[in-house]
Amino acid sequence: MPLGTGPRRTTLRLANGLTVILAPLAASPTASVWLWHSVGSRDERPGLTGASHCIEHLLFLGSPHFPKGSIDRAVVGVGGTLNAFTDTDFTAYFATVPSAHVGLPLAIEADRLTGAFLSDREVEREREVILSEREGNENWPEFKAEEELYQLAFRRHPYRWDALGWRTDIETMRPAELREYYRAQYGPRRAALVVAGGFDAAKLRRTVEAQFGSLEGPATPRRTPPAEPAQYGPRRSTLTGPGSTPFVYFGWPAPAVGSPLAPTFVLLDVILGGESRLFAAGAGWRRRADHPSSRLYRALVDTGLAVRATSDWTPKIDPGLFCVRVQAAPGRSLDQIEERVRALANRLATRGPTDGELREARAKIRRGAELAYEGASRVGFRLGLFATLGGPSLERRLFAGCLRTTADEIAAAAREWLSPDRVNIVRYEPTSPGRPR
Amino acid sequence: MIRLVDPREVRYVANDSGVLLGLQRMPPSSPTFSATYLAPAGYGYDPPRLHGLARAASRLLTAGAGRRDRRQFARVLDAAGATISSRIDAEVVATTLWGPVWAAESLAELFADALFRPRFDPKEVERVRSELHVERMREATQPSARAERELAEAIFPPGHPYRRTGGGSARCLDAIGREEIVHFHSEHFPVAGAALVVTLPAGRRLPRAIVRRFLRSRRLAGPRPPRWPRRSMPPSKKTVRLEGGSQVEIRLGGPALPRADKQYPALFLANEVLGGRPAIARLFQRVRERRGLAYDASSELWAGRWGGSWTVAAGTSPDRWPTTLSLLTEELERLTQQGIPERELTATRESVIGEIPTALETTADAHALAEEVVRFHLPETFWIDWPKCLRSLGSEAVRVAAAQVYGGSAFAQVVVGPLGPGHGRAGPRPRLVRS
Repeated sequence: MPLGTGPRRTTLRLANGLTVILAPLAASPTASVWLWHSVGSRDERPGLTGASHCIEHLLFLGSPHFPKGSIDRAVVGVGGTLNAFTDTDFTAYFATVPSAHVGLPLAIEADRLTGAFLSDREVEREREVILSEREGNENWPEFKAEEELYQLAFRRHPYRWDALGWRTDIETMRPAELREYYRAQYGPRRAALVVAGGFDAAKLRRTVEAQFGSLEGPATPRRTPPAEPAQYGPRRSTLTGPGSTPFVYFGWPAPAVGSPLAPTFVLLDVILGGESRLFAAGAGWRRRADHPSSRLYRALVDTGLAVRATSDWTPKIDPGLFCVRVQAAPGRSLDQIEERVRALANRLATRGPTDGELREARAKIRRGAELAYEGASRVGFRLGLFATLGGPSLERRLFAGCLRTTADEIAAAAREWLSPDRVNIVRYEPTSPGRPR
Repeated sequence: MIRLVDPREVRYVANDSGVLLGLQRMPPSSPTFSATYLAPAGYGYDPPRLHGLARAASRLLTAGAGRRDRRQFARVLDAAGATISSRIDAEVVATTLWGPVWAAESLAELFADALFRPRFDPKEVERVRSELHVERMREATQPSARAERELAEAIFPPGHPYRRTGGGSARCLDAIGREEIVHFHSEHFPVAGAALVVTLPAGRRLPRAIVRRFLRSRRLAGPRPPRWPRRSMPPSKKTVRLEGGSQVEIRLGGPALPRADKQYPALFLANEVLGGRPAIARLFQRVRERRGLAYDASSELWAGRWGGSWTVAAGTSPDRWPTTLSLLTEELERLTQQGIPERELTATRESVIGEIPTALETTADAHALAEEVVRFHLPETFWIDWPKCLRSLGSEAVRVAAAQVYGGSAFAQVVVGPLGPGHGRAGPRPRLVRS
């Protein structure tokens, strides 16, 4: 397959608007079925934050042909794995099963795409589970800092809240409101079905058309959230609590994934932090912590100021953030770290990357593109992600853009976007660093 | 060239080095290969006043080796899109190379450098020391990390290699010098008794560097397993108050069986029924699906060469932990006293068996299976025979194994988190208006 394009597949759009992508993989022992809903916390409003995540849970808890508990039992029963996750821009459900059982997850997704019950009883019980999920996250200082960073950087746009939602909203959202949200937002027009693995494509296409073709959903297009007003000065916040050493998160407003500047931010991410989520070899969606040749590592870890220093441009449909996250080494101050990060951004803005850095960054992106599609599950993930964020040509456009973007363009982007006037900074200062034992 | 086509099979290859070599084949279409070196270098071998030494040594393997410093080392990996990573437990350090097949030869050289010629540059030693200090502080202050440590200390007596989680005290970490690391490495890495497992697409030869650097010369004998007190710990209950979080972490646990024990397959199934099988296990069903008390409730069985341990875990709100704890202990009792209905056992067993194809999706996935075979010297056809083994176990055999390990109330209990007054979702929730 040509780099940056993904494996050979058939893409079709059913009459009801459902996008279907079938990627048969010769000799694959498994089949991975993904349903990507273009619904996430971006589609929520204050008072109903966390609704998409709540729906994610509830879609496992009863639909016409799959009563509560039966989805897990059926999929796990044949040796499959299944799960779902909610993000700001999307919610994805997946199951990977031995390929002979590919029909099972298809039947499940068809049943719950528009038919989930969302009963009062299940909403009330699941509310407790979701609160517990949130509380588990709150035990980690990194979660609190991340939530604070987005709250600081966004004042109007729904990226202001985490996909888990505010605690008070989770506690008070009503079952009827959730059902209304489900009816209004979920349906074939706002979904992409991706099937990858060992199957006969023609036969599977007929199955998909039979199971999904008659489903109907809302015809209303996806709402455009209010644009974020310009940021005219730096914003900062300090959190305290238990923890090890202090850490600091920086967030600069950054372009959306569909922007012509998106490839520049992929490159900025690789040059500053060592890799890009979109083109990371074999890593799925996770990032490796250490990239010794990255600028952040050399400036902060090599010098003994920090134990960890990473960057992150997460592709989003609307303008998001370019983040830098640094954890101090024992005894080191965040003031020094802040100063060093400012200097790094400034240097990149004035001089741009070196030829060697740009060459290395492109090589990493090439390798990432080359190795990112191993196995049916990863194929399903990547094809669905790109289809949901920007359509079938998104990966190719980003990849080609990364090969074309010049050092001067990267410097110009750093000047415009990584400015000290537009930065949001959250510090976490542990209250009990101590040296026990 | 050894002809293997079924990725479930591992072939042991004779050689004179004293390193156990296991070979696994992936389908020809796989673009990647993987190799893992299992060194007898786990934190169970840490000298008494140098706890953290093994972890430091393992982490420094990729921080520069041979003629390359850390950055040059990373650049070679990045140029191929490859990774080398290390994992450690009480017994072994497992160092895994993963990368594209076309680069296998040069990457195998780099892998050998990492394992046998690490530089342990003083600057890198200091960097890793800082990392370990941060992890130590986190283990003291983060509820789930703290609960894991407290549980290990409650299950195993002082001096036992499983009693620790691999970190060291501030004093120990400060006492670790380059000299100690070099010495530890020479006694635990380039030694007989280590094992190497390689996963390659069919039709590919073993990289020459693997043969030359790992298998050619006879290695010195590796370390003897550490000795530890054989006494068992009395049942215990400990609560640790940690402020600042939102959730209380509960852990129950006790010693279990080594991987080679004949009862292991039955105990494995018991654990899957109890809490090991995602979504369908009893703990998940009872605590989350029926009662909504926790996002997750699960159990884990860890079995090593020297012994093992079991853990039951759940995180819940501060006002609900007593109820959650009762449910967890009730499920333990139910498993050991009432056994498992045949239907439930069959569903769990068939789920485990059905999972094998999905565990062969990628080279990395398949490699993990081969690593388990080689680490525990299991038969070459272990994964082919595993379904038969599981199907031979009836409900009573599983109950007996469960009773032997989980039986009675002789387990350790640890509760960690915001336990003081004023925590939790006090009082009844605001009544929600139902539609």
